[in-house]
Amino acid sequence: MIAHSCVTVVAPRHARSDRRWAGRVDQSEVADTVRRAAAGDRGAWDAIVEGFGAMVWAVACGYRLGPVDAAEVSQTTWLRLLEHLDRIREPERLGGWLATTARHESLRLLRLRGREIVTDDETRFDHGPSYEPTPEDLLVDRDRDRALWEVFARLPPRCRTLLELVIIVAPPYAEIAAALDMPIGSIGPTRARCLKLLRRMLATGGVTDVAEGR
Amino acid sequence: MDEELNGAAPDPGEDADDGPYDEAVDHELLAELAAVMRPRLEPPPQVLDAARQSFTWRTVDAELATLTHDSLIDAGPVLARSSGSPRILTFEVAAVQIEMEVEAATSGHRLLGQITPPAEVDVALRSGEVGSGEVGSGEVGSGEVGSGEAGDGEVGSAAARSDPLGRFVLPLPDGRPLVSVRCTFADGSAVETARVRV
Repeated sequence: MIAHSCVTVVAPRHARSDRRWAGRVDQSEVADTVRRAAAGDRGAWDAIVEGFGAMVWAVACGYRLGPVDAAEVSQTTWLRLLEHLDRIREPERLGGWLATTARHESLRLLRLRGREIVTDDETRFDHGPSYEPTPEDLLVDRDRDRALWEVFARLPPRCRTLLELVIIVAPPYAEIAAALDMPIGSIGPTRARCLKLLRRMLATGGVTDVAEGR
Repeated sequence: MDEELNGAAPDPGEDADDGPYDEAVDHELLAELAAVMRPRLEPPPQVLDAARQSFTWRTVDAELATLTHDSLIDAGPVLARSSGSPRILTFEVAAVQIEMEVEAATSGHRLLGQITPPAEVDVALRSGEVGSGEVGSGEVGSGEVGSGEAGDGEVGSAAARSDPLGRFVLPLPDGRPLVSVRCTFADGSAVETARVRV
């Protein structure tokens, strides 16, 4: 597999905790921000990027795209929004629109590269092998965090992508439904199944292995 | 719906040790996971920078022709994957349609275009990457190097004129460039296509 995950293996030092994650922006505020950006307000545009940039990135990363390709998808998705700023029918649903666009652009790029995945959904979201811990990871001093990270990396790809998006966006998860092309009603149950699997793996593998490895 | 509701709770027969489904426990685990994962899911700074920078690519002096057909997507997976079939892109705005075929040749890739209704117009290829001054090959064959009035990082890289039947040819930079085509009509009005990677 050529694909590599574009999840940052090492957490950035200056990660921001005050980010306004996609979906956490008030809906009426989103519509107004879109209108202001369409009128040429650069600050409004930056606010949209700030609010939804991580979500767009995560969608691209979920489609077995490596960092370079995911960056291209991200860029094309934002250009597509720029082109459609003044013609989006329901600007309050911007998150879903961006997620759908990122999905389409991911597919376009996959096909452009001639390596479209035609198998089932499970493999479509294969992140590739780069969840391997790095030396820096081994320095993470909180056992629980490290165990969680290692076990998460071993989850089925579709579970990883879904949980990543769940972390990034807020309910009701319209963006996730759009990004993964699945009914919004099945996101909750799938999330529950993935968390159950994660919990079971933590109980049987992760924590114990970490403790014994010392 | 029943299936979805049932799916929300683990099957009690599957592993009795889990006990009854407890959403609060899920939320707790999710919060813990979020604390660990969130910093790692942060896009690289240059990706967000490029997203912000793309605002300078706003087309304000031309009508935008949106991409209405891309054979890569719309022709279905079989045709799209077939290397024998060329990529066809269709852009439309109002009464103007611009159809383009990406022609791959050993001497370099070209865009073969058709404007409908047919008209003799100036056509210019714009390419480049957002947030960088970088462009593909500026070698444009019979075309000429265009002016640099475009946005940040975007440079006009080839120009030509369509024939009376509305057909035009533009050389493409190497690689997988992000391009748009701008058509300027006799009355000075302009139509520019959406950007697309070819």
